[in-house]
Amino acid sequence: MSHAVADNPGRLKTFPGGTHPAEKKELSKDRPIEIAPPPERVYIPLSQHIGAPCKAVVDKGAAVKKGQVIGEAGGFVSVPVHASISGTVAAIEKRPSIFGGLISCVVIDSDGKDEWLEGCNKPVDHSRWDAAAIRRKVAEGGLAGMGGATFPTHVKLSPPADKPIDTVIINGVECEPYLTCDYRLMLEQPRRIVDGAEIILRAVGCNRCIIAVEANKPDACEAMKKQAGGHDKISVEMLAVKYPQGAEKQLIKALLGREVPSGGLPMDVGALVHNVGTAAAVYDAVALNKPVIERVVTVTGEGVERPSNFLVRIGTPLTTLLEKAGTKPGAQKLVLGGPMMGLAQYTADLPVTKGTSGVLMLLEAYSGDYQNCIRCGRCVQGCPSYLVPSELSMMAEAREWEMARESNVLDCIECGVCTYVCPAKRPIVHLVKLTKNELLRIKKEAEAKKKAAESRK
Amino acid sequence: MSDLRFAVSTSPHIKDRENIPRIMWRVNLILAPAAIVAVIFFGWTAALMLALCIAGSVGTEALIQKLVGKKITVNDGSAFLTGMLLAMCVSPAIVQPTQEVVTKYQGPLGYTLAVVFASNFYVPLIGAFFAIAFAKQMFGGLGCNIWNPALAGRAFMLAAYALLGTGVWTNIENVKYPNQQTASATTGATARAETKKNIALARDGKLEAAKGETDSRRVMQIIREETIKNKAPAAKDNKLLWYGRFLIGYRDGSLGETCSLWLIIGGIILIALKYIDWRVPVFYIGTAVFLGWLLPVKVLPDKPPVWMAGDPLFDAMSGGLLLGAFFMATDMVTSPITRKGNIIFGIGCGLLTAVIRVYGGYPEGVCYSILLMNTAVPLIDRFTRPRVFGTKLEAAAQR
Repeated sequence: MSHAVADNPGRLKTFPGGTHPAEKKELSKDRPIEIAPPPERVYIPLSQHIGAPCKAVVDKGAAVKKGQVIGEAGGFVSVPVHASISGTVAAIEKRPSIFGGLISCVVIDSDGKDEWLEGCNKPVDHSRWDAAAIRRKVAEGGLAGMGGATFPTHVKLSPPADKPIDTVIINGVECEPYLTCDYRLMLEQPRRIVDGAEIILRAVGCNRCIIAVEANKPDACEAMKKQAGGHDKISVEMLAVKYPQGAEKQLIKALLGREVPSGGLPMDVGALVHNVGTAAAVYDAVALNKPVIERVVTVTGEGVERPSNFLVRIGTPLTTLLEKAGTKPGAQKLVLGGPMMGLAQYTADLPVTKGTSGVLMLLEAYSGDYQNCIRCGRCVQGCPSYLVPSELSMMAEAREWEMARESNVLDCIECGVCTYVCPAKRPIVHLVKLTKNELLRIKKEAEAKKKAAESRK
Repeated sequence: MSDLRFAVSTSPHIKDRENIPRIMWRVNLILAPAAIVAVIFFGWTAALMLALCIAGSVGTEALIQKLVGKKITVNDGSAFLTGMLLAMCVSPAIVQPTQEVVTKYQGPLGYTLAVVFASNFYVPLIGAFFAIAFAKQMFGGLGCNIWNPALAGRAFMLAAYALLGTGVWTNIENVKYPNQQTASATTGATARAETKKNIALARDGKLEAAKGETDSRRVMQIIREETIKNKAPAAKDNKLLWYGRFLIGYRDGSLGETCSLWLIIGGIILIALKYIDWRVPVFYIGTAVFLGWLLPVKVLPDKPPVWMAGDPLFDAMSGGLLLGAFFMATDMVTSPITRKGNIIFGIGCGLLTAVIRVYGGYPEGVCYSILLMNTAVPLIDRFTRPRVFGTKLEAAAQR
């Protein structure tokens, strides 16, 4: 293995490029995880992951228990959703989605008992389970990447035989500003994470696990080290602070010096990355037979009175959380996730989903005015994918989609570094997303044309 | 709560504080001390030159933006910077009123009258107009220009008013406040031009002081001594004083290029603020000084050219190299966008500067070398695109 950082052993590892946005973690980092009481009513979207949406398996009026499947997986790249409280199904209706538009949701009214489904939340002896059994349980538990990407976990745990995994990375980097849910989880519940990591190692038949933590969380790093002490396969590595180190490809580059090939997956370089929250949820699903019905959410931002970390039931309305944390007048923006990659929402009338790591209330909303690129090169220096973002943005303005594709626009991970550092305030990520959409549209149109031509023959 | 509505946009939702006006005004501020030194040493003509160039630039920018119905952005400091840089890379003597007139009309009013009726005050205005109108706005304004506007303006002034641009310099020894009143306030040559002239004389065997010499290296020595004798008699036997004058800026030359000390300090501040890439000035100055020292010069009619006979310290501090390398070649808009590109760009500028200095018709080559390299920037950018993450894997570290 030869990579730049190995040459200076005194220094902490990191990846090339990136930037240092103001961390703002101090707002909520010292607030222990607070268990939010189960809400009176939850709205559980039938698609909370990347992949095929679920099919509802309960009808209006049905009584459900906590942990009961209410929507079953719509395919291999899909995971079921579970009731997060016990009660009655009040409706199955279309409601606003965090991705815009509407989405089918199962609305459950609480019966106040908060009862588990029979067999759920009980210790299970899984010590003799094989990889397939673990994967099955993870799939049944409804696990999708808890870092925010929400890719079905069991799919990542099923690498093909020709792509062996030699290193499992548990991602505790939490490089997004403001967010502290992973930090609190590492600090307060390191055992769930380490035990989850152990199960993941078994599922993919791998003997090495690295838990990665950035240097701005030394106490979390210490807690993880202490917990991982007895496990000879698991180590903890402290990385230099830099955004976007938590991005899968950048984390692999920082830790192992390997580059995931363009268009490839981490398994192509023998690596598998899971968020700490996902590792903890794997432990819950396998060792406790407890599906994903809750998660830690950081509610923070300058527009919040009491920034907090809540353990929240999936489907809890954001309004409930914001009322609990208190909002200040004048909030301009509501963001789900971190400020660099999170999704801005026009309404707070949305539920917490499996991928909701943070709820931010920001006082500032940028006007959207921007100037010509002055070619300062800050985006080029910062781009962790080594692209020339300024040129990509200009190609989008000129509607030169094909030229942008040739300039590797599809390798953009949309981390937002270029747009954050741009002194001309150019909406580079926006233009890149537009380009990607256009390329997809062109591809689909070409395919449709080809199909039509073939059918005419 | 649920009836609240929020602004929606694509991520990221936070932005760095840095913006274009902040960058431009800070660069103006960092450049200002060199301009102040110029006013101290060159007198009011320097201040007049600065005022004319800045007013010309800002006025032209506002006028054109108004005419074409664009948003007027003169507050962003970029036209101001172009004006200041333009003033700093030309001789302040261009706008010096004729001697008799200055002597006749005393006081501030008299001086103003003298400027209006007996100076070439319109020359910098025309230069500034060209810089902004033709080199910047015609290409689409800030960010779209190919050439550094200030240098393009300077090149235009030099081409249009050749004698004023290269033949008239303020004689620093004779500057008196508030006006340059002595008859010999202007001079025909800078130290670089003087050296160049003496080399040409020696090559033809016509340099008096070098009569009978047969060693080329010794002749170079004599040429240098002649220059010092002519430009700074006081420093004849004192190398420290000679170079010291270049360091603080007490020498003939373009308005803002003289104070080497501040140009270096300002350059370091720009590098520290990450407004410029250190690679440009380092490779530019390094290449220009190294080649200026290395390249062979013919100084005797019947002897081959002598190698490695340059004066690196003189080459670094004389002429416009420091101003050009730190403040002009590094112009964000007209320099490459990649780090590798900046190295190539810096070396190219240095090479052209040295070649023009040693073999060209002009005593100085900073302006043209940067303009030529500006032209090559799109090409440099194209060939120095970074390797995209995860591509050409044989080159990247694997397993």
